[in-house]
Amino acid sequence: MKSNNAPVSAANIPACPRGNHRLGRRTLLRAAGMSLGLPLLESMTSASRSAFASAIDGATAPVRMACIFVPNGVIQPKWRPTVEGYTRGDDGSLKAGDQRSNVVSKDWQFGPTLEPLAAVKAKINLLENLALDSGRAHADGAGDHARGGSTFLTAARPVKTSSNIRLGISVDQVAATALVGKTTLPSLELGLQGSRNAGSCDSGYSCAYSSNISWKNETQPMPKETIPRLAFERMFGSGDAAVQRERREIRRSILDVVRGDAEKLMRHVGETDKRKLDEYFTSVREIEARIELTEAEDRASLPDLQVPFGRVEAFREHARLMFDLMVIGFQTDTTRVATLMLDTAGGNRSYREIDVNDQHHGLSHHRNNEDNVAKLQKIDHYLVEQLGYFLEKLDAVSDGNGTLLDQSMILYGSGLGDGNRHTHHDLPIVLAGGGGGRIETGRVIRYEQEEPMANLFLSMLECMGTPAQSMGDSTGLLEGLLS
Amino acid sequence: MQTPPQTKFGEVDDNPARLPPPASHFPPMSVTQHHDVDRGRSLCGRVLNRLAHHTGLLTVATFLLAPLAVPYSCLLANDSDTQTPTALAAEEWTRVGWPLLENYCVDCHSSDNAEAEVDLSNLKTLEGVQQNSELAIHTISMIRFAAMPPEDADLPSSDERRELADLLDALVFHAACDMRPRPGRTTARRLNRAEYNNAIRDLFGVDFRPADSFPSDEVGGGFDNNADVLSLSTMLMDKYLTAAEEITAKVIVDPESLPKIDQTFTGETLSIIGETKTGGFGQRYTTASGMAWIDVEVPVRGRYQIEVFASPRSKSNSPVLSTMHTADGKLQAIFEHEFREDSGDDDHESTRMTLDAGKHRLFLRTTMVPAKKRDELKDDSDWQIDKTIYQPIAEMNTDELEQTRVAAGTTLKPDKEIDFEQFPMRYRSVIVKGPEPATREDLPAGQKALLGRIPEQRDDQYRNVGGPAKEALRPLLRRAFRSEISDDDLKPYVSLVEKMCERGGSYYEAMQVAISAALVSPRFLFRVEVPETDQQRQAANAGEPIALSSTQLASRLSFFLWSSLPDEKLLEAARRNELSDPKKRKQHIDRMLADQKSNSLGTQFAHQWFGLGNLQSLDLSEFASVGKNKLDADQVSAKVLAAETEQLFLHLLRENRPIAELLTSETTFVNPTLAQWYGVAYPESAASDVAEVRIADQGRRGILGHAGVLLLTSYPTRNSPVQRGKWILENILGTPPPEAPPGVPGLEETKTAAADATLREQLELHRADPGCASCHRVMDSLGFGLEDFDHFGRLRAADDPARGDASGELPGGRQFVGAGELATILAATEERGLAETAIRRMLSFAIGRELRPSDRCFVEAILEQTQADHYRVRDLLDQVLVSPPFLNHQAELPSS
Repeated sequence: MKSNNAPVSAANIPACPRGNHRLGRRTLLRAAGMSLGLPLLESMTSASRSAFASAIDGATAPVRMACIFVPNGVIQPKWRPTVEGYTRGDDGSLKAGDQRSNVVSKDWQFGPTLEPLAAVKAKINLLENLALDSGRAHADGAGDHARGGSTFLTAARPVKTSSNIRLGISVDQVAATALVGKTTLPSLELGLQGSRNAGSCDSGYSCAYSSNISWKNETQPMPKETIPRLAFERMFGSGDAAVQRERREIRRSILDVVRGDAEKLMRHVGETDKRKLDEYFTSVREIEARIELTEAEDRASLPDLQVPFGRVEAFREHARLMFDLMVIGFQTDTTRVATLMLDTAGGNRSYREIDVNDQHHGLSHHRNNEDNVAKLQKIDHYLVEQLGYFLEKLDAVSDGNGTLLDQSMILYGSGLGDGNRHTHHDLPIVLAGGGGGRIETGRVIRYEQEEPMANLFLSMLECMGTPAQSMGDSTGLLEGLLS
Repeated sequence: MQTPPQTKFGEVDDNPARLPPPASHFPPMSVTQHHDVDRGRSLCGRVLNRLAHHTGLLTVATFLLAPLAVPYSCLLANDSDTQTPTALAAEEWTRVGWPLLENYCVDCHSSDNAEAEVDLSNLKTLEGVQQNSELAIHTISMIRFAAMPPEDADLPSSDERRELADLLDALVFHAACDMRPRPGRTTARRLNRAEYNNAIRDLFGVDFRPADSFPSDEVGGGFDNNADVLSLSTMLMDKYLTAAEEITAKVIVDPESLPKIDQTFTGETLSIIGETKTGGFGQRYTTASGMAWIDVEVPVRGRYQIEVFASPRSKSNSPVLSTMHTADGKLQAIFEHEFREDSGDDDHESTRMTLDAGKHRLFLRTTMVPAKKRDELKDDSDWQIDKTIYQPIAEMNTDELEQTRVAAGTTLKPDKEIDFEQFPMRYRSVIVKGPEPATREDLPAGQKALLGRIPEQRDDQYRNVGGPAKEALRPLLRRAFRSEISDDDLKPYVSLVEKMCERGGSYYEAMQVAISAALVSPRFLFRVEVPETDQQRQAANAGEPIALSSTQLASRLSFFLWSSLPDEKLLEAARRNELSDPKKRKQHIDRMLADQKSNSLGTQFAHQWFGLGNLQSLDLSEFASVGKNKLDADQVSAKVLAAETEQLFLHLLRENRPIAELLTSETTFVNPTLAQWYGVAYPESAASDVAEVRIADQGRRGILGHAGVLLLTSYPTRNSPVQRGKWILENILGTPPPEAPPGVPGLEETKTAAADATLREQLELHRADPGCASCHRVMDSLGFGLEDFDHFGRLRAADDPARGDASGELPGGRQFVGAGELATILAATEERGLAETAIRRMLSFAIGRELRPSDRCFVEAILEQTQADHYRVRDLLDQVLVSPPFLNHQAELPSS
């Protein structure tokens, strides 16, 4: 299976001369004033200013790919769009009269959950009735969450074990492996929750299955970064630089504390002692000045993105920082492949900021209790809101012949369809972005028969210029997606 | 009747009443002549003497109250019905002294013609002398040494010299001491290297000696704890930061950063003894008498958790017992495993076990004994945890055991239709995890005591760290800052920890940082003495001296006696304000001197007093090879040589011996190496590092026979009587010779009489130079006394011609033959000078500043106090500890 995923034609990969692009990126970012909350100035974005912009014309600008995972399925009736001329069956099927067939439509309206995407409606596709057969129980019994998460980007069947994990390569890693050397980082793995890669998390499945959607190969999950600052360091600073940065930060806080002590002392001493303490102040000041100087030099080598040190607690801020990092990673061509887990499979976070105090996974077994369903839908909506933030941000950056969103494929969804019943078909899937012009957007596509998610993967890889023969249970390219 | 206020080396003391008599008779004023001392001096001397002799303890008591009541000077003993002693001294100066000075000195040192930038016209009046006391003292020294006037000028007679010096001296003394001498102020004092090292040692219980890599501290007034010269450069601050980070990284280690294991044994890695089958998820089945076993390697000694997932295959008799054994067969744990459905998880049981670092083999034995029988087995000798040895395991054949491993590369295939009758038990997995952080052996020894409670960790983040951080930091800061710590003091440190943990940092790392901050805080690095109450501030404002607080005294005591921080007992006493009480303070002083930490009085105080640091720069390899027994170069170090002298001082201090024994001691203190060098037997009963041995038989006596002292006062290739003489003048007699005038040729450049001239002949020639003669007469006669010893400090052979030089006559007709007699004569006649030197050095070291002219008043008082008992060393120290400059200070207030 591995070998099947490997073949990649280098000739198809869009060129990206490396050259001094780092300098270009720096210039660009500083000029663009890219920091949280600051709008990007259209005229100064990468296409027009980056060092490599001149070397590649719009047609050969690289395609980027991001995959975003949410746990526990969704409230499907609220997720689904209404499609002009069709009626919905309870199972989600679309019927025109009595006719059931594959549906491709550009005439549709959002259901309530996806409304936050209104601003980018023309730049997304909603794909319906994709399935992950490998996620189904078959003979392995319980563990749908672990399987839902682990199959999400691999479409491979996880071996039920708590220690000797075995799965398959994930779609992002197929692309990343093929793109090694093209960018600073072949891929970027982000998450909001830490991984537990040992022990068992779901009915005898190793925690690695629930905690990772990105797998480098059958046995090696890609550890994800949950602290934005560390991801930032990984993207833009070498290990040593990061250690030095941390050390400077620590020294600065030490000096802050002791300067306070010295100031207190100063209030009590006479002239002679003051002169002695002045020596102290002078040395503190000089060391601080040196730290600042080094920091300024260091900052000059980094994108002007304010990423706080340490953990970020608030979900929304945390998620958006991660999205910012993905945007900046794509924009600077630091990486072309990224994955983000908004939560671990079977995740149990409470979203108190939108007044949902119950735990997500617990709620997902709603047994059609109206309250629970309403709360779940609120969560679904909230998560999509974050996606909206990301897509709009991408769409604000010029790239190639259009925007960064036009140059990208953003896969968003869950490995479960109905969280209550743990279904592995009719998955909630958004595919945003034009894939560099290969994907027509603004459509709802529903397959009458469930279609392997793996076929979407093949199509995405094709579009990335890193095609693969097969993945998981794939049967071929996804019909009607690529043009 | 006539008692001068003090006796200086080279000065006549003709007071028959004073004990011990005869003071020195020494050049240049060696021709003694009884003459009338001026009335002022005699009056004051009488008063001083009366105080010392009749009021005894009262004098001590007045010291304590010095700032408030003053009668430790002559001033309040104003029983003269006419004039104050000061006025009398001033009158005598004007009548006799000044005309002499004017006659012999002012020609070249006037305001119009200040040669060498010395203007003596300022010394005409009492006020002038008061304002220029440093100049006056310098002038006295030049006159006494006859360094001035130069020999080609109009020279005063010896009597005139003496009179001039005495009169000016009396005036200086009275000018200072009759006006309520001030205790003086000490500038904010940075910890020096030794203090820093010791403080770190005492804070963390580990002797890291980080300050050894700091730049050397400047020396002021002979000591490197002098507040005024101890500066703080940015480079040093950098070193402090680095040292703090290195220290805290050593004393606190995050267990998370250390190796640990979380290893699962299942399927192929879970070996089975006896027949076996494999289940769908790698479970391994055993027969009723089968066993599962694992080999696990643990990184460090500590307590590990061992989890076993297993279950019997039949409901009947469930739960059943299984036992865990180590390779020696010893029963370690008994598990009760319940039946589980075939497809479900197996029953989870666990135990904790302390394991040494390395490989361990653990066996899980299937017994199929129902758990309900466990009560019956309570006293069964086969079921005793930690006692029972299961022989089949103990006697297991290793080769056969190896056979039961699943061969590498083999994958177990699930068996179908397993017969649960034959295979009644299955093991799903064994997990070994650990060690538990608190139990691991590789954490720094003091970490637990230092950190105490560790806050809980949830979702990779330490929560509620404020409480534990406070609990740990308060006592540490209290000791580091040497005073009680308020919440306000503590807050920035605790917030630092909280901030770091909030952003996901490790609590351990955060505590490292907070403690690092404490170690670079000015409150740790500097000793600052400021008024602590409004009352004190008022007094300070009025220019009054202030008694130091108990807290401030705790630091003064500990940094003087230990060169380190106060310990818990001292801080506690300070908190209860007990150190202002002389009795209680004395108890602490006794305790502190009994503590090994007071060895710093040897390694710091005596070491610097006698200039032993200069040994450090010498190449000792040749020295090592020339002793009685040839030693390897690396056996002898500056430390070994210095230790001899330091130990002699500590001995005199702890045994409270008269200070003169410094010169006459017949025993010395050596380590085995130095004993070999000297050729004395090292007593077998002695400690390994130092022993007291008799050395007098080797022709050595006291400090002037110490190899180290003789070595450091020599040139690498020859003796230097001049240096040795100078060393004695400076460090024993306390009368350093004036610096050589500019342009004086060294010995080498002096014209040599003959190629084979002896050193003494050469020096005689050198001395013929009028610019050199006067000072050298003093220095050389002392230095030649040590010609018994060569430049390595070896005793010369009896027939060595140089031995002939080692005899002579000291002024006053004091003849001696050899170094031993010189030491004896000095001890007998220069006792007071030696005592004064000791007191001055102690006081200067204790208060961290150079003594000023007015401090002489306090020194004189101590001399008076200790004279009767021959200036015993501990008495001197005790007196220094109750002297006004030690107990009080003059505070400056903020200018605003």
